[in-house]
Amino acid sequence: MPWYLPRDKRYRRRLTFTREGKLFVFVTLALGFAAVNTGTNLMYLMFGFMLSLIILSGVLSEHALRQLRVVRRLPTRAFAGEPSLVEIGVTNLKRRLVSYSIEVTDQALSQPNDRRCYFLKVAPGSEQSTSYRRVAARRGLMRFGGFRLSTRFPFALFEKWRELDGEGELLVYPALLPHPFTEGAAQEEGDQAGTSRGRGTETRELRDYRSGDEMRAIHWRRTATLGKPVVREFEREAAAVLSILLDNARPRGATDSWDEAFEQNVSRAAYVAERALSRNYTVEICARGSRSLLLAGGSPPDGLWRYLALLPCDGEGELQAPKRGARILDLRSNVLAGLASAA
Amino acid sequence: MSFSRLQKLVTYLLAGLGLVSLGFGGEIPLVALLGLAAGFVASWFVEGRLLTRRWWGRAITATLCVALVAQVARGFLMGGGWLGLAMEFAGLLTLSRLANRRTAVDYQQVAMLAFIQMIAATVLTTDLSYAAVFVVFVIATPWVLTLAHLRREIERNYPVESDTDGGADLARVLASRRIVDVSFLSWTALLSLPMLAMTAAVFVFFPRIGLGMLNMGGTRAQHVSGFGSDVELGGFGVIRDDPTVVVRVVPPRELSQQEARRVLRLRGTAFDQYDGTRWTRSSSEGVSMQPIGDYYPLKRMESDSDLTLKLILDRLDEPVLFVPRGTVGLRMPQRGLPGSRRDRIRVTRGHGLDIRYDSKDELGVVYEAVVSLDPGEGDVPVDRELDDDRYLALPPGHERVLTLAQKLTAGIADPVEQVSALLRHLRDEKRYTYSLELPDTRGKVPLEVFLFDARRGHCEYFSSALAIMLRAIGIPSRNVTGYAGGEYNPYGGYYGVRQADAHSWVEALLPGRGWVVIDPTPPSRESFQPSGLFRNVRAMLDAMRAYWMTRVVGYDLQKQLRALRELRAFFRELGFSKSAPAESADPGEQTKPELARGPLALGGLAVAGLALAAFVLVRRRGRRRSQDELTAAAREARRLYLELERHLAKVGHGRPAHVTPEAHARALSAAGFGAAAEVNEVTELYVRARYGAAPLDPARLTSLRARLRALEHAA
Repeated sequence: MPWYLPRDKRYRRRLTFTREGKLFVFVTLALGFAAVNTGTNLMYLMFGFMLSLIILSGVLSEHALRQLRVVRRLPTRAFAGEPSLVEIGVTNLKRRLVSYSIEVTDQALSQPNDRRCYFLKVAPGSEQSTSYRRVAARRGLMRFGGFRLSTRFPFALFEKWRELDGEGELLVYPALLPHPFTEGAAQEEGDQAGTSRGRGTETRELRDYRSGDEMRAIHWRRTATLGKPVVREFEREAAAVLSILLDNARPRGATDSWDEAFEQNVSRAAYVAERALSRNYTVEICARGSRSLLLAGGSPPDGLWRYLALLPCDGEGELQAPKRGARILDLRSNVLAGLASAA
Repeated sequence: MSFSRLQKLVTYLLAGLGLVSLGFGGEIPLVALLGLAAGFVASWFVEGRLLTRRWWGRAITATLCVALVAQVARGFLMGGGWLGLAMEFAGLLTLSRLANRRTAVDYQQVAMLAFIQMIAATVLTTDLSYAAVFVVFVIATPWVLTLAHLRREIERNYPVESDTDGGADLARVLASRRIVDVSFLSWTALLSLPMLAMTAAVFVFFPRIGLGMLNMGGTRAQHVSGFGSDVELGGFGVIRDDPTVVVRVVPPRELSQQEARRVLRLRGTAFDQYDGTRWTRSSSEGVSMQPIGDYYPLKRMESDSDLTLKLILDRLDEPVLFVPRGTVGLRMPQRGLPGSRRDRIRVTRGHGLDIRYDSKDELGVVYEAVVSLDPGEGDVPVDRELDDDRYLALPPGHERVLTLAQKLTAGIADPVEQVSALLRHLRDEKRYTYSLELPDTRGKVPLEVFLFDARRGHCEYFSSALAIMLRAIGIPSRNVTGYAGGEYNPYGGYYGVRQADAHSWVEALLPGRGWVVIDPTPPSRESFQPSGLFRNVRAMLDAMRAYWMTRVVGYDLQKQLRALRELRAFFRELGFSKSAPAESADPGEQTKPELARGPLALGGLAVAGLALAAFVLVRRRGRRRSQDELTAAAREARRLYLELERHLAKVGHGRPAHVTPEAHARALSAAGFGAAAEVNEVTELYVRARYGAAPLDPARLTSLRARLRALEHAA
């Protein structure tokens, strides 16, 4: 790009004529021809005026697109097959000029680019934002390539556009597919309190304060009664562990139906993981060559969903062994195997 | 004002301009124009639900179809007039869109129709009124086109009904007063300045190589009477109250009163036959005059003592070249390519020094008359082959007039004395008075009524009476029509000769003198004399009109070449080349004292350079100021946070662009990131100092910086 152009100007502009623009240009050229032909001076006047409208249109559309900053605000969670709101913000960095009629196309790679956000007026120095719904077809990383900033302002004779950087990534979690027997199992297999000290919620005993104890552990009422600091000790909560087994090794010659069934199992695993965590199960997911984090019951399921979102269907190696004593949900062989105890 | 109301207003302005331009050229009858105006006003009140009714749209479409059929039928029945009918229909189309303006497309169509109507008007008129309409059109067009575009986008992007989130719907957006405001109108109106400049540039520099294949030439000529092949007695001199300027005489210097009186007698047409009620020309054919260069000699070649007057003649329905008294020759500048025979204006000379022009276009004409101020050259030259006994022919039934003439000149032998005697008789104010109230001459001999009964009349009666009486005593004479008098226009620096200055006088062929100009009409006391403000306004408007006609409508290849030569000379002087003197813009123009353009250009460049430098400086200062606006604390905090970001990126926890610093810190804490405490502290400090203008504790800053470095080392 030429060095003398301002940085903002070095982006390449392109334009395409609208239907009205084509008509206008045609009439202008025809009028020019008629003016040359007849030598009628007033025709030259109109011809000059129409030409100036075209030139001015180019200048104004350029100003409308200049010094705009576009940001994308992605949702914290997005699930495959479900619409999620993506917010687009446009800031007009110009000092005086308003930018009218700006259209921002959020360009997701390998996705249809029909998601457009329209900004009727962006005042100088201010930001306008709007959002659109995007539905990710499948789990995994959705990559955004940048923005296409376009305008037909001021006379709709042509559409001028430029591209802006704005790469981004959105991790799309698998769709949540309800599992038929999770509910009953979770109720039966609830929390089991252990006998050792730990970071549970139930008070096991009181003892004197020692240096390094957390302030929140102080039992204030007893401290006030005894006149010395007393802290609580908690019971360790030994929750049931649920291991979800997923076979992600795609057999040779597998057809699309295998892929479909595998994706369904991933979706079921995502659903089960969320339900189990909400019922205080400690949950892990085991697949070939990798396993997820072991998430304690009550934790947000995002860690497991992230794992599932990125789980490849061409895993290699042995299936990771479940935790000892864990309950097992076997989703291998694309069959819901039900719960079983690991030896 | 709401968006929709403003759009309606400016669209009506543009549509109105289109309809006004349809009225130019007089192709549409007044009744139809009034009908269009009424429809235009009525359509303004079509509002609200009516516009959304389906039957309303259908009714308008049906009406248009009926109107189309009716126009076609009228065309066939009237056997022509298609241009006027088409223009009427174009007006109806505009009204139909205005009365059915529901969507942005309707507004765009109104704008498009206005464009077409303005384009059509370019071949219908050359009047100054087009300039006025054009200027307003240039101002209004950006408004209309911009608002139509915005409305179209609003219709595309906003729902008709409000959605469940309470978002803006179409009606709310269109009723909003915040989309466009006064500043919008102001800056879009200011756009007209660069547009006019660009239009002017295209106009001046676009090559004028008219091919003339499709020249429609529908410009309406100004009607004048008295310069055709005949003139009815009493039909010429009754236009004394028409102030329309038809000829502008531009002198090279200020004229004395005497000079002005002499040269402002513009001779038009001479009539040789009189049948008792009507003057006619026995031969209306002229012979083509051969110029010497662009000079057409009438008496002789020009000399240094002659006065050259430029005459700007409006397009009249008779292509007569008016010749000031004492003219010895005419100069007719050509319009097209030098040497092109096609673009040359042909000048013909007919019987009785009837000089006419013939040009391809329908414009007026600008020419120069070389006038001798020598009193001896004030008479009209004699066409030896053409001047004959026809100037002595008398109409039948004028015996009383003959008797009177003979009686008045009885005993006088000298023709000059005879003429004087007749003049004395007619100019005797006790006997004859000038009046525009014509006597009733039905069934009588008009001249006898004038001379013996009514004893009043206007210039034609006086001149006809004298011409016939001169013939009665054997002096060849003819009746001449033209213009006498004119008013100096200080705004334009010319004498404006009005329709009201139309006059009629006599030329008598006196032995040894040639055709002598004799004006028997006594001074008029009834002529139209506007005064005060109206007179000034009229003069100003006429000066503008003259400028428009000569500089815009009459702009041609010759003027374009002259402008380019001037520009070339200017640029040559910019290069400070003294070897080649600047070429005279006009070959015929006297060399003017050379202006010191070199230093001027240098000064101009210096001013432009200074302005540019000032602009760059102001811009840079503005940028620097925006950077300086960050406090020292904020700068420090930003530096620290950038350090943190670098570290996070290195350990694979870089902040994505769409995540705010605080959100990123929260996310890292939630994920159990090892250095979450440092991240939280640095982020909090950064946000408070950068956006909250909070002061920075140097000790804390140093401690955080040390901790970050420790993390860096650990990584």
